[in-house]
Amino acid sequence: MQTIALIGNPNVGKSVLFYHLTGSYVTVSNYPGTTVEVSSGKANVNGQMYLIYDTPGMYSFSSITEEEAVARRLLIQIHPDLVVHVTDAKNLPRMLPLTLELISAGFQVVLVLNMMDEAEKVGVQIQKTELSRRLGIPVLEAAFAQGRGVIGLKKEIVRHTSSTAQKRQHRWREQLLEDKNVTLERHRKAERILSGIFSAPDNYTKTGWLDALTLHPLGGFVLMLFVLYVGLYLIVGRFGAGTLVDLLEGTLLGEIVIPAVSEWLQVIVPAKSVLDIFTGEFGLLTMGFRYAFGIILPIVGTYFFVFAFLEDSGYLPRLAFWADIAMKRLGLNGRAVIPLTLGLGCGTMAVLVTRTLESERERVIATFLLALAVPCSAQLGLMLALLSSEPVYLFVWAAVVGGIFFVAGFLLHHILPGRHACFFMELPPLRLPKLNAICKKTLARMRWYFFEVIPVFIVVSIILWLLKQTGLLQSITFQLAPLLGWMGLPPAMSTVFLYGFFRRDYGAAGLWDLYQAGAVSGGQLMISSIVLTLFLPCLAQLVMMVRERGLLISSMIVGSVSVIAYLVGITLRIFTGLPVY
Amino acid sequence: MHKPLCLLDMPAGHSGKIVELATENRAILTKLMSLGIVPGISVGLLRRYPGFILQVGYTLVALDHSFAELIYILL
Repeated sequence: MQTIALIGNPNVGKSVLFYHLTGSYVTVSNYPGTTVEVSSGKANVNGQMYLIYDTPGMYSFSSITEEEAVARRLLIQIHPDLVVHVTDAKNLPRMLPLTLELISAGFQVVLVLNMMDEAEKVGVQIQKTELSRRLGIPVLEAAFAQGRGVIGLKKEIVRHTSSTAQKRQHRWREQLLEDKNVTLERHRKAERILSGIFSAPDNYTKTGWLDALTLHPLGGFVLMLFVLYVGLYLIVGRFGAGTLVDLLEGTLLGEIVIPAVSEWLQVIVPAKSVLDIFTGEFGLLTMGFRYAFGIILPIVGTYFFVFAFLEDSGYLPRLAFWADIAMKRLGLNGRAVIPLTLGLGCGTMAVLVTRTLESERERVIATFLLALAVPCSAQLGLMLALLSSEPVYLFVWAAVVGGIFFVAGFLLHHILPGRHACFFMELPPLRLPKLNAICKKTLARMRWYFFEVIPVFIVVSIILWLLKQTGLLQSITFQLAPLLGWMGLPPAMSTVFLYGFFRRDYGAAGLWDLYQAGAVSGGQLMISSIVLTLFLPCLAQLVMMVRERGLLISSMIVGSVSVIAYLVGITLRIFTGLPVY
Repeated sequence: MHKPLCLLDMPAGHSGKIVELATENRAILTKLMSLGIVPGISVGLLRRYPGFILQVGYTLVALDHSFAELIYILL
């Protein structure tokens, strides 16, 4: 099968094109750098089958970040039959050098001038026939977000791949030693090629008041608080974790589905111990299914929705710009805002996205902070719901977790060797997100999340059921009890911590149950919610950490996180004057 | 005739032509150039704090101190 690679700067529309060609959706956003892996898909283009590769954004062949290296490796290893270089038409002058690099490396290239709608709106004019003649490759106009240019590109793909059956020899070699003048010369050449056929009026988009606000030191801060309040507290906390959970878990599952199914199971499954797998204390239905669909689904879903809105609006890079100074104190740079805020949705996904950071040092710091002090949305939503009855507890929780986040980052920054982070980022224009796009993206992320959650929740329920049947659970609980006692927490809490290890959000959900049952006091609630937040990441995140950072670093992170969480728990007990339980 | 000014010393709200990128570090040069920050190009400095924001063509680019100190501009 012939192969086609989609190449281009971040945020020029590669993933949208991939969707048009293959019909499958990679998360697309108005944020540079959210595609961290190469996605491939089969496409039927006018009756011919092709293998299409979507790559992370790439500025140049000599790349800095891991995501760029991914695109370069793909080009070298696969040597695709056709490279589709997607560009933002109005910014063509700075994107054309990459086209020249691709051509001189011996690839078959089609140049796509995407986002023509925006370019036309600002008055950019390009003579594409002449451009095509000067470059010696096909040049197409498109606006993929509106579906414009897709048919033309498909025709071009078929025409091009059938006429040149034999692969051209690729002449690419490591060009890292290429000096300043060669790079500069390529830009000069691009300028010469465009001279007389590309014109952009000097009326650069004036930044609007909202733009000015997002970039203003004080305005940006106020706006961030506003976004946190509306996005996290009102939408995720109150609506997702409150209204939706009540509706799904309380009414739909709790009053209708679970009683009905239990009754039915009791009839067809006579053995009590087997029945327990489904409807016992840790049953697949009563715990696994209820937590996953009734509690976690609505919260994670609303978070992903809010996050997608922020991504598509172009706000996140502005937040990154604004937070850069603070992030530098933690050894990170503004870019880290993305994995960290995504971590408020799902820590596992966030560890994967740390790949967009430039150095391994930054990735380690971000992974550590994600493991220690960034609660995931399900946990966060439940904590907000649990603690909001007592604003003081909520305040203490936020202050302790936030404080530890900064102290840990600050210390890591001073302990870890390596170069300090530097920051540059393209700020895409602010756009009003399209509801359709946000929903698609939210669904794509939820699907990803679900393929991860469903197997885990089945396994966890079965393991806990086995532990209970064999009596091991009681002995683990018994062993944990004194450890918990030092933090002033009752033995009943040990199951909560046990769930928390399998999935953070299950831990929080367990705490929710205990609190509803009146088994914990206010002080205990506060301590346990803080310790659970800091405590080990869930199993899935742990697996991802080992995959991304290696076993050694992950073990060190896990060790430190457990010790820190425990010490904080003991300290809090002493401060609050609770007795050892 | 003015002397080239480092971006660090350039007041916000002004624009000028880039004359020099003062580094031999190829990785950094590639980054700057691929964002359109190339000698000969006109840019405007929109903001200096909390970071530097340059208007380069139709693109806004945010930079920190470590990049800004490499860019020399003729007002």
